[in-house]
Amino acid sequence: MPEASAARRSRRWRTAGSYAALTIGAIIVLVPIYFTIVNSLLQPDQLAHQPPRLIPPAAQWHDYRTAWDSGQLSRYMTTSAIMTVSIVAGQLVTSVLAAYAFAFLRFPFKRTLFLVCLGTLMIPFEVTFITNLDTVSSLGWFNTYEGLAVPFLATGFGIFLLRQAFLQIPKDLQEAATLDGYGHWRFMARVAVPLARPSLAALGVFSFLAAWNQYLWPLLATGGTTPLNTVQIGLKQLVGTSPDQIPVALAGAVIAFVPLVILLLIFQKQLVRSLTAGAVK
Amino acid sequence: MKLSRALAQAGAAVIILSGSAVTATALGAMSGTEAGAAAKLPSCNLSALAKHKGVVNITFWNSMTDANGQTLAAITSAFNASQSKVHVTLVSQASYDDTWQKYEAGLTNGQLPDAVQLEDQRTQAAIDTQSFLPVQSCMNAAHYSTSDYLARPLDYWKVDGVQEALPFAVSAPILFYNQLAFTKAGLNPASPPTTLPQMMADAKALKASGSGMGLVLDPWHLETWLASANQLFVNNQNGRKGRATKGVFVTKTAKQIFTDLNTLVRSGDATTNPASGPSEFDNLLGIGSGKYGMTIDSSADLGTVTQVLGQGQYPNVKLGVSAFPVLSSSIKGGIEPGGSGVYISSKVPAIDQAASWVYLSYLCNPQSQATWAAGTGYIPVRKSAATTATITHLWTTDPGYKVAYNEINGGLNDAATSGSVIGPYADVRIDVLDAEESMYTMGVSPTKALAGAQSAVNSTISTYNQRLGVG
Repeated sequence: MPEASAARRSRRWRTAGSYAALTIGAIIVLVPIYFTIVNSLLQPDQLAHQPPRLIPPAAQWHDYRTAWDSGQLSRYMTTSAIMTVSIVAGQLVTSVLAAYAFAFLRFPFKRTLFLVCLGTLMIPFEVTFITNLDTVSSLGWFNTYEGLAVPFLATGFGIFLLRQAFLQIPKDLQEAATLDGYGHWRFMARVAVPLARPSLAALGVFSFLAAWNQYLWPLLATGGTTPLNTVQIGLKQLVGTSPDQIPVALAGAVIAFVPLVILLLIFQKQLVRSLTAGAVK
Repeated sequence: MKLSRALAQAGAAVIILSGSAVTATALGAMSGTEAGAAAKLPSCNLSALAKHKGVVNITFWNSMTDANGQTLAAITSAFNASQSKVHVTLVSQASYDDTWQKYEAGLTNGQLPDAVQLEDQRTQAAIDTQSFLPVQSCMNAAHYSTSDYLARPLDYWKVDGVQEALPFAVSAPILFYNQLAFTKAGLNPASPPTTLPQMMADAKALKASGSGMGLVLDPWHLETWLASANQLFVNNQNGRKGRATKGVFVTKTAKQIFTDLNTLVRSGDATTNPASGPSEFDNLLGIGSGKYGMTIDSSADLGTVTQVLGQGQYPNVKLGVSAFPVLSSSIKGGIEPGGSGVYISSKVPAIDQAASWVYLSYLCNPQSQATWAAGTGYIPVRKSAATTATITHLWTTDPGYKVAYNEINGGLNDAATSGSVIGPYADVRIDVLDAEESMYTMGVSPTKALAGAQSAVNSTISTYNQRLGVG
């Protein structure tokens, strides 16, 4: 029996160790967010207090109202939501179709075309945005939702991610489906896509994050006297030029990341599954 | 990775992106011709506007938010109501950098304003876009007199003898201090430091009594102290008699400035904070919390600081404001202005250009400048604005507002004190700041840091000039 108890003890230590490591990791990740929330509830002058306040002495919730109402965050959030949902939906659809083709269909220049898709990952946005802007403007999409979303409806990363997921589907399954009379469309909808759900969720979350946090493109692709501002641009406007605006800007930042937190909570399981997929064979 | 940028970004725990991506593509596409200046100015067709029937609608891009934005809106509605030829629509961007990025992008897709407010450091970059009508053209056409303007702000936006923009929102660095902290440290609150050596001594005394000095990591420290000692920053008369091609600041004076700043920070008498992100006002807020006894910052912040400190919850603070402590009382120089100028686009119809001139000259007339200064804390750029009831009242009730005006109105007016004109000015300032930070955080010697700053500045300028084909 002593051997078993020793094993149990060492297992217990290992569990304790991993909990300690995870706790430290969580603290590192959460502290900046915690301070953002605390600072959004402080009076401007208390921001510079040393040592920094861990608990606001008298929480000032009115800065949230200011950010939402006079900061017009409600309007910016709507714009961001429409843009982001369009981009996420677009990327999921185009990635599924293209990835399916690369994984299951046979056509000429398949490898070359796939490399071209991958190649788009190597070109930074800074190189293409002036050309994109020119294109979007000449299509008459300047300061429209089309202009905000269309340049991002397809992504090399998504195609790559889903192709890898589709390739994991056993050939036998496809053959069995063919025998059952499934065509490509039905096989994709009934078998391939459901099996690739974790990867789809991961892609959805990543593209949501990227679209929601965009700054440069929405800044440049909108304008005129009634610009179609997104939430990140609205946040920058909240910062303003004076020290008494900082808690308002931080309150705005908290409001802006609420949708992201909700999203992460809902898709947490799929995300973890997709990140660990393939880790254990 | 530039240290300052890394620091600034680390400071910005918020999701806000810094927007510092270099939009050089638009610039790179343009060839630069060195301006042969005054002889071949484009024309400003004021008579077409005079003959025109109906309203000319123009847009003005600005970067004014909060109280500043409200004051600008009030002056603009007064302008719109005062006449029936021109109607101005304001478009506000969140920051000077955003405005500039949008302007550069607009050069590609034609989404450009009729008139735009640009930050001080963009003068040469604006000229290099070849998309502005120098206001000089309209001044000549209107036989406009500039004798009522303060000389230095006017000179700031004058390159090769051509007035490129009108000075509009002009400020200068001033000293903010807590009189009660001075008393506590055994210093005389009625005589704040007037020179850099005195400022260092006072910072030491303040530190010994529990406060100290807040020092925002703003890259204009070196330039301002150089100007205060009448020293040039870049060649060709600070870029005003020909394009600047290199820095000329490896001098005894600059070495003294770097050595003093280094001593100030390394001794702990001064604590630094970044100039952007959520900590950008820590030096000012620290005066309120009692952490600091003094700091240097823009006079444009005076309004807000007075307002915040005046709320009655700071019994230990009595705000004092005085002139920027110059390098030495025995050298005569001047404080260079900062802020922003207003430009007319040459990419819009001639009649819009003329209408823009009418509006911009309204923004800079004595009455508007008085309203502007009283509502924002910027200085009035017109001498006669200083004698209006609005300003005399402001300066009597709150003498702190007069400090920056006196700084800009006094001292020498020459190339050294009217500031520099540099194509990649924003990047040059980052180079200088990186060098300062290498002293503070890595213990690099002031001599080495200064030499490093100059060689970085030289390479930044020559890269830019080569890209434009003028290097």
